[in-house]
Amino acid sequence: MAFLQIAHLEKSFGTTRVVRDFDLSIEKGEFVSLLGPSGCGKTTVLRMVAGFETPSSGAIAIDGRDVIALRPNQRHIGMVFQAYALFPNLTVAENVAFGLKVKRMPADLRAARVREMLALIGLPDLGNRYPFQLSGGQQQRVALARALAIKPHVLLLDEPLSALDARIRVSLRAQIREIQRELQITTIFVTHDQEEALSISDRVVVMNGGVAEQVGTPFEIYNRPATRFVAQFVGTLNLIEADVIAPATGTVRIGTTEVSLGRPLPAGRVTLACRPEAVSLGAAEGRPLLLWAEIGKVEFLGAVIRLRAQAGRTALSLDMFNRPDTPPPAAGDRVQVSISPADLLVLEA
Amino acid sequence: MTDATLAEPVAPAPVAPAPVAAESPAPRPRRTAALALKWLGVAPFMIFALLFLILPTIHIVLGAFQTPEGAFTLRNLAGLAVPQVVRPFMLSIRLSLLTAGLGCLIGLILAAAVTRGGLPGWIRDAMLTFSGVASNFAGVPLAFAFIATLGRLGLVTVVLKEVFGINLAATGFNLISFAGLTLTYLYFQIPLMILIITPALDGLKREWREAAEILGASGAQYWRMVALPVLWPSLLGTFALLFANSFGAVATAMALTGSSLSIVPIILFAQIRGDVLQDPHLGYAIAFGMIVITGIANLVYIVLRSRAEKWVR
Ligand SMILES: Nc1ncnc2c1ncn2[C@@H]1O[C@H](COP(=O)(O)OP(=O)(O)OP(=O)(O)O)[C@@H](O)[C@H]1O
Ligand SMILES: [Mg+2]
Repeated sequence: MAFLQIAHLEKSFGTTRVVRDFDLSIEKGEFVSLLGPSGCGKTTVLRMVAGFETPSSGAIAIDGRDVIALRPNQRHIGMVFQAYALFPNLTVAENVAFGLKVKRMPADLRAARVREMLALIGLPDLGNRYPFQLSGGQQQRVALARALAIKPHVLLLDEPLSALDARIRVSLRAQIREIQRELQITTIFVTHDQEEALSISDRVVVMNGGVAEQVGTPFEIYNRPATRFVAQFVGTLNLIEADVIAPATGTVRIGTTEVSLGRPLPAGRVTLACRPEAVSLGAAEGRPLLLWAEIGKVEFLGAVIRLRAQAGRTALSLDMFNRPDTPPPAAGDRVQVSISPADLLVLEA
Repeated sequence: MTDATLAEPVAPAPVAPAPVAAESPAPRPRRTAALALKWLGVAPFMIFALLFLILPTIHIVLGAFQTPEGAFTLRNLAGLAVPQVVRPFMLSIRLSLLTAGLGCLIGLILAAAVTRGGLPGWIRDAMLTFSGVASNFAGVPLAFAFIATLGRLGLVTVVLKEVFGINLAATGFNLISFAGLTLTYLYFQIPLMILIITPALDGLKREWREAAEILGASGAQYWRMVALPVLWPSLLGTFALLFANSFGAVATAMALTGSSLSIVPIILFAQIRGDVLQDPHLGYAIAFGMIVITGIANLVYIVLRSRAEKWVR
């Protein structure tokens, strides 16, 4: 059985169901992100795990033990909030020591643990500062140290980086992941930033409207999105409308081009989807779907160049590697682009 | 906030508009005119403060150090050190400390109950609205309200006696007493505390309580280690304000007790009317003593208040 087991979790506020039939199993030491748009119920799930909200129904077990009836302070959980959760009247060291003090740990052990935690988060010298004397990123690191000081079994983070600048966000998320790996602590990380979720998680739960639409590794979520919502929410997606003209062989017509996808398709109209990196300039072996397109915009992103092109009524984004010896096409150029049928996802139209 | 301290309530005198700077041809006339207009807006306040606060205060302070002939003296202040003056001061300070302390405590508990959530929202609105009214309810109407309810023939007294068989007078309770005055003052002290402390309680972040809870703290530990220390400067400051508020209240006490209870404002009032000691300059000295004590209370308030605002950022 998984270390953290959530089964058929439901939560309603009044008549609105904000979490619906939510299942999730997390192994010990795993780092799982809840990813979804604002209001989809991420925080509510986290707060039910923490014990701040009571589920309308369903079960939550940690290490094989049902925790539904336990109060937050009995669940051995550490939590980091979005922002401003440090106690303003206590110094950094006193904040980190708070959980140890209420657990009556002797003062010398406490001081040692505080030193250890401050070293872990890379702020060994700031113990005597007050929270208002710290930057936002430092505050969040102290909040992490405070949560980890009591050696919780599970760590919950609710958008801990969303109040920070983009640059600090990237470095701090890497640091959080590193600390999590070092301590091997089972972690749920809430975010609405897909890049953040994909870059640091073992697995990602994509939520929409209170439902877990897909649970999978970042690779699976990105390359094999299970639903149209997941496909569109995670990463950039090209959508191509197509008419199925031979369902058995999967032959479709896109504008005037006909191509076989080599798998059965439902009759009628379908929406095909592919990532920008699946679209290539020029024809090539194994890429039978060929379209003529006119280049709109050329965005230079460094190692990658993103082209925006128009093929008939279909808008396409395509990525090409930046090679100094092959300059990219210019806006207004007519080019041929090709796609491999294997890279095309079929979304119900 | 409640009673007028020294002067009786005065209706704002019609103030003549201040002369506008239109006579001198200024280098930048439009700027000057705009500036003059801004000052014109606050002119009524300035004039009012000058006439009814600053000038009387100066007059009292100077008078406290003058003989009737106008020579400098410390005799008036020395004259305060007689039992007829010291006892009222002590009584007033005790009354003010007690009503401020009880007001803070009860007001804090009530405000905490409505801000913590869990109660329907209208209770909070109703209580704040009521507090806004009650904190301004003082003087003769307040005294009358208490006499009409808890006085010898008051409604509550009678109902207790007739319906429940409880004889309030037999328990030793007397409205016209220190206890009665305390009770009456609490009628505006508690609401005032609620009004001032509610925003401070709103400033306590939900995350603090939840972080404390998940770190293993009980509710009491959270209050002791986080909430009260954060609120502490506000609490002390509000205490000082309630103290001054009670210390200066005269009309309520006069209306309720006549002159049977010698608190400072009452002997001062008597002094000004020339009833007892016949020495207006001793009156000045008493008033000066009140100004000093009220001033200290307000100074404490201002200092602590500015410290309180540093926490909640
Ligand atoms: N205490 C509450 N009472 C009523 N409705 C609530 C309450 N808490 C949350 N909701 C509603 O539940 C839904 C899910 O809220 P939740 O905070 O879990 O979303 P979220 O995914 O964390 O969003 P965000 O990314 O904006 O933080 C929202 O529509 C919200 O309005
Ligand atoms: Mg949220």
